[in-house]
Amino acid sequence: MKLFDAELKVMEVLWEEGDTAAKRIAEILREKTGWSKTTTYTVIKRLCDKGAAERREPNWVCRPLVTAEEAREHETNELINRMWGGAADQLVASILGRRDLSKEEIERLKQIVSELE
Amino acid sequence: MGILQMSLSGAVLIAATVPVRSLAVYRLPKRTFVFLWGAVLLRLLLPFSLPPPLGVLAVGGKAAEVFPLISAAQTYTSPVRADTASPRSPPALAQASFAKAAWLGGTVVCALFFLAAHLRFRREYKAALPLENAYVAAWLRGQKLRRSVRVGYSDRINAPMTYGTLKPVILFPKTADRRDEACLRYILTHEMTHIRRFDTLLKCLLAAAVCVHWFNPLVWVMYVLANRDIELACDEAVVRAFGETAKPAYALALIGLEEKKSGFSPLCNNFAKNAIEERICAIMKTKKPSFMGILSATVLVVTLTAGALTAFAADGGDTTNGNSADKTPGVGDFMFPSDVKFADDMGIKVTVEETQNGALPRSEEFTEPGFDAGSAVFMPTRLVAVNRRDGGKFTEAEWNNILAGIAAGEIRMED
Repeated sequence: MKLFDAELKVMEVLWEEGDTAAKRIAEILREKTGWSKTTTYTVIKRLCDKGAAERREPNWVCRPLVTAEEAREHETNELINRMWGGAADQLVASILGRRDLSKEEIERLKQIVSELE
Repeated sequence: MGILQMSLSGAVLIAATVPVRSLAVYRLPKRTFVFLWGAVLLRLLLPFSLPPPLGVLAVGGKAAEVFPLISAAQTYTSPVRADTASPRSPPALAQASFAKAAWLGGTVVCALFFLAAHLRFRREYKAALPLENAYVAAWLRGQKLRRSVRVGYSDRINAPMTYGTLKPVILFPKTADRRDEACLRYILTHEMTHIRRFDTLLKCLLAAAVCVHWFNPLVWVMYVLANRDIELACDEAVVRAFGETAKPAYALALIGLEEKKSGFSPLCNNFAKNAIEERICAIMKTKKPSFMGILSATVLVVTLTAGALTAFAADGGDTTNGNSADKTPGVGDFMFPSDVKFADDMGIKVTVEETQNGALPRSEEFTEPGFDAGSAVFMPTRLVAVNRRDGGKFTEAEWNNILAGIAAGEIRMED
């Protein structure tokens, strides 16, 4: 499921806070992004239509139906398919080739790769 | 003035502007055309006309004849001109009301279309995320503007854009390279020019003109060209701000943005939407305007604006009024839209409205004598606009006289 930036913003709140009343989400996002209540509700509604979240009475409590991992996996797959023609190893190679990775990060990546072998 | 009349005078102005534009688009300052379209908009949207100011109309002799400047000073003698012209036949009446209904229907459909598109896009824009970028923040602080401008980014748009008039927001597409400061600066300058010039509002007015004059193809032509000219004028402002050496870089930035085109959003300012080729050429050909250029642009704008507001209006008064030449000169008479008729065999609910330049209208509503409201399936309503030719307001006595005249069937409409 493709989540747009605005939708991800709402999902982030849900992933962090768990089940949250729509009103509370609006408050949090007003702080973070300056959205109006209507805007937040519109995005929540879109998430519900997509099946990424659900709202329940009373108080329109929202619950994520998609986990952060699932969302990330989708984005990663899309990236691999779009930029590396589906070749995940090349993505990893490209990340490892980056200069701004710290030594610790590289060590952890190598560890993950060896675990998967 | 009726809609048809406004549309016709507007069409004449557009027909005059289009060739000027195609001949001089790369020569005159681009804002000239924006002002010209503004004058056309005034004619298309303002239902009244200003009395000709001294001198301006001396050129249009006909108009001066119809509107003798002395008329305002003369005393008002007979408030009612009882026309004995035969009333229109019922089929003509039906035709007139059908035309009116069709026009209204078209206007509503058009307005709904623009509104729906606008609201759908606006909902999308509202969910944009704030752009936190040190360079952009510093740039914004350096701008002097009373309204506070916010900058955001969205993954739902493909080209930079601006929306909102009182609380303007500049949106970047998510894909725009935020490290390319030169490009950021071009975009910000372009969008800020839109904001400073209230272009969003102007685009709303253009859309309004299209809605009201949807039946007029020239108004659609104006809509397209004016939208382009708004962009050209902002491009020109960017080139002015950064100097002629920036022309190629700006043009290239524009082409880069054009590669990812955005969808249809009629009421917002799109950075890269209209006729990219014309824009690139216009940018590359931008020069410091010559004295002659500025002079001819000013003359053009002043002439057309004066013409739009007075001469055409006076001509309009002439046609509505029919054979007004044989009347007592200078006496205030009434302008009736020609599709209005009274006192035929069909009962009619009449709304009489006094229209005055700029003033609030006063109106009265009554049913004509002999009309049995109980037996009618629906009650046809007529709106009658009356005004004094000298632009003044009717006195209480004159107003009552008019109402009494209509109620008694003494005032009739000429065909």
